[in-house]
Amino acid sequence: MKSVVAEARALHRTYMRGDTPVRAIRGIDITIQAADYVAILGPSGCGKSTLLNLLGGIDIPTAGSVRLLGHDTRELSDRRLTRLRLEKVGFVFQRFHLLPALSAAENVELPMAEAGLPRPRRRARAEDLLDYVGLSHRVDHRPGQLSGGEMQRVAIARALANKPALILADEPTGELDQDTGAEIGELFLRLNRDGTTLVIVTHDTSLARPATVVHRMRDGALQTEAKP
Amino acid sequence: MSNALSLAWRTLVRRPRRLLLFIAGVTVAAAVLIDMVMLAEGLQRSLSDLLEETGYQVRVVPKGTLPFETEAAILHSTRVAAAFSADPRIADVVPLWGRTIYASSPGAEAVATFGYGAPAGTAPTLRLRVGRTLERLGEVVINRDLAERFRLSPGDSLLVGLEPDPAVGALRSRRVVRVSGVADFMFAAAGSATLALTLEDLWALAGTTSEPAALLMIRVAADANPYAVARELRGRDTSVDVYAIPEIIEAAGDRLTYFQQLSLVLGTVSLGVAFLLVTTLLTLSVNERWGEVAALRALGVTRGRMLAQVAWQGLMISAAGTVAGIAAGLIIARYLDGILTSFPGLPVNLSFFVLDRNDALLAIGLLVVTGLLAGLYPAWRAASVNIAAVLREEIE
Ligand SMILES: Nc1ncnc2c1ncn2[C@@H]1O[C@H](COP(=O)(O)OP(=O)(O)OP(=O)(O)O)[C@@H](O)[C@H]1O
Ligand SMILES: [Mg+2]
Repeated sequence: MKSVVAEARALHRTYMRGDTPVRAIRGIDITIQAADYVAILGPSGCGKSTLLNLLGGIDIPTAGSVRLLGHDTRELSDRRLTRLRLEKVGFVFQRFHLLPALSAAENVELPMAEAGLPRPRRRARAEDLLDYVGLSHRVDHRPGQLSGGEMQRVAIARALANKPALILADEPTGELDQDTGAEIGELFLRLNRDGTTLVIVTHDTSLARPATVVHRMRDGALQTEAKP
Repeated sequence: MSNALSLAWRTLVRRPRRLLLFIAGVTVAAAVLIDMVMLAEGLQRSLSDLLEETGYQVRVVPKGTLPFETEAAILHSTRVAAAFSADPRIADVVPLWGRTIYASSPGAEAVATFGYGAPAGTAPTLRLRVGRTLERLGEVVINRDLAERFRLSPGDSLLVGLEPDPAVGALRSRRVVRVSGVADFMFAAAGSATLALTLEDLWALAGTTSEPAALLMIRVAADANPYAVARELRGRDTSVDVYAIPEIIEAAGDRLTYFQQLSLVLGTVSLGVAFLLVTTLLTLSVNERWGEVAALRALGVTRGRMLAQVAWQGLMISAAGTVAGIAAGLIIARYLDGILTSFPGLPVNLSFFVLDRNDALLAIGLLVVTGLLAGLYPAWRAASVNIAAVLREEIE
């Protein structure tokens, strides 16, 4: 029996744009199980990023609930929710969001430092992770000295830093050319084969193809198709 | 912790030129603050130090005057001094008098000088340069202006007297005195000719027999409290004012509070400028790293840590500015002191800018607190970023 990593029930998220409510998520039920590779597809503005943010605990539902590793995100204090993200969730952004002042290794070390891992251990782990994503020769480079694909690899290593139960990626190849995107896709697939649970929002079919579960969204709702 | 500090620092120095400009701004503000703190009570402190240096802790002056402020005098001062000396808590009493007298040298024109009279063997307001102090009648100690003007050194003689007779041109009641030493007169104005004779000579020269003194300087016994002695003497003789040194400073205070008010206003303005510089820089910095801030929060940096990171940056800028500002402030104060103390009529040994350790610590404390407060608003903004909304805006 697989364990449940994240789970949403009767999920709603409504934004206020001035006086008009924008119903970005309209009653979604979704379950993410350990070792799943979930791809979320859908047209622009259908609510994919909103759903991902809700699942990852960086946004809070207006109705319904998200249980992230057994915790209802609405019931946690901001402090405990932040700690839960730090220890259990890895984020990969479309724009990488590496700290330009830090080297690749230091960027990967940052979540470990935040979690209180001693310096020698985090340095060793950062080097291992950079090696895992194929950047052992870029350990001391600054983001400004790296290509887009390399920056995204560093960001993926950073997402893995605290051995998360779940990695959420929003358009992780959105800024990359096709070939580089395909390489990142291969990295994600390897990650998943090594046991990492993935939820990826994407327009990129090369990322969606290997997924074990594909969700199509439209107007804030899911049209799920399970793969064999 | 060291990690958070290093991240705060490295984020700041990403734009080194801008950072330097703002630190330079805070440096200027800190320098002004330090100077104002030095100026506020500098004159009082410097005056108090000079008065202490004489070794006499209590001053007796004619009622309603300050030393040498008016022509008023304590008459029969020898007797008054002797009466005070009988008190076991009083170790020594020195009457001082002063008036304008003229000095000349053969073949040179007479000059007006301020002549002090002190009992032979005492010279409480002199810093001797060469020779020795007054030891007997007929001796004179001169200041360096006078020594240079008449090219005099110890052993030479000098003609002193009252104002020249307009008909004859010669000094009235003139007599020849012998230079025993050259000294700096602690309370004499810069650039003016000054000399000291024995009291008896000065009285005789002025043709007075009432033994006037402009002031009596009292040294209290080692175990006596100057305040208590001053209080008691005040009760004993109501025709005089009696001051311990801090009381003189206070009595002169009205004339010195201009500096305190000026310092308060300019010091406050400089703190305000430092505050605005730090807030501006940190607000700019947070604004341009908005996406980075949101990403850090998403990755698991708590609000508190985010707040601390920006607040540390405020402290770092103000600390750097404070260190540089103290150095700059001391240099500027020296320069300004040079200008102000060369004003005619001011005692040479007075300073307008005096650094007191407690006041320096106060200024440093104020600057650090200002840096911290200035960082709070940008820090609070960074800490309360709406993560999802900012990450979304970053893509658009
Ligand atoms: N902070 C917000 N305030 C107001 N409206 C918002 C906000 N965030 C999202 N929306 C709206 O909610 C809807 C869903 O947005 P979302 O970003 O989740 O879509 P998306 O599927 O990720 O789109 P894209 O593929 O363009 O990234 C859109 O109509 C969007 O305009
Ligand atoms: Mg999106």
